[in-house]
Amino acid sequence: MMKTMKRRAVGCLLAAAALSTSGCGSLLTESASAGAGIASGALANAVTDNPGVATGIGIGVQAAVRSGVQYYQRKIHGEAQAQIAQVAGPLKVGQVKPWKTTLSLPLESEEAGRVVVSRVISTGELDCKEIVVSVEQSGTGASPASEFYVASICRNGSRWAWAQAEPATERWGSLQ
Amino acid sequence: MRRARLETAACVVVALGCAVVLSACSSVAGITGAVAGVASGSASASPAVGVAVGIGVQAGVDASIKLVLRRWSQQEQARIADLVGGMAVGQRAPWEIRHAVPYGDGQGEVQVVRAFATPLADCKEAVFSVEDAAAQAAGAASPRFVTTVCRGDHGWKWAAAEPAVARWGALQ
Repeated sequence: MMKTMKRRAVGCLLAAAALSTSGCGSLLTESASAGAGIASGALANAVTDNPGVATGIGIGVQAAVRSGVQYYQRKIHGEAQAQIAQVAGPLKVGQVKPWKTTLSLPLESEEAGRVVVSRVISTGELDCKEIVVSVEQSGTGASPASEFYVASICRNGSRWAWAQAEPATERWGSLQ
Repeated sequence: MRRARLETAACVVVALGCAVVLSACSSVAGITGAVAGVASGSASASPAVGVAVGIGVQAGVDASIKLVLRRWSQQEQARIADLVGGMAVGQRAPWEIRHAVPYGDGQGEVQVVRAFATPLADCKEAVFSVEDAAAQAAGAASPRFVTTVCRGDHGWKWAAAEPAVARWGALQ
């Protein structure tokens, strides 16, 4: 019983790794943390007779792995946003330039496309622009159809950064 | 043994039903996981099996609920984007989305406020309201939101990009 469970947990993690490149972020978080929670619960049960302690260890490890995976997802996605903002920052309105993300960890697929500045939102100390980003390539293959996204970027000192604020809490829906 | 299992199975079903009725969709996963954990732990007498089943069920239910909710949001976005695509700046129209399951339905009004063409794509900015019958009866105004849609290979689509990572906060 225990062995098959461990095997399933490992299978779950492998499936999660395969899915991570297809951009299935929430599934990756769930499978990785669940797998780790199950495995550590089983391990803890082998060394302690106290079911409460074993349960605590299982759930604790699950929570730790979940926040660990989320931390790295955030870090990687931040890299991707910064790279697009860096390309778009110096452009004038109407000017198009290709972009490509290079990520330090394979937690997301590397993407490529083009970016254009559609509007200067503000100038001076608050230097912000509105950009239209196309995603034409995701991973190794070309995207089946080019998709467009609109975002804002602002200049912080010498660096341009993604400046899109979070959705209104009423519009979070399934985001959380 | 068989009777005990039947009882735990019945307990799971009843508790699940209560969970769905009592709570919002997003917390069902945790409750289901906890119920499944308790049920399987008591059926197998092994706490590790209970923990494993509980955590596994929670993760599975969590991922499935998120998938369904995301699909519903996508349908709502597609409906609004489609409407906005066919409207001129200043034009106003009602929007409505009805799902097969009467949960997450929505309706309101949408108005195009700006259209802009870039060398990459044509885009429009729109303001939409979300009407809630209960809130309206209480005299509250419908909340309004701003979004952007762009025309791609498959028609007009929701184009609002994700927030900056620094603003994800509790979103992840």
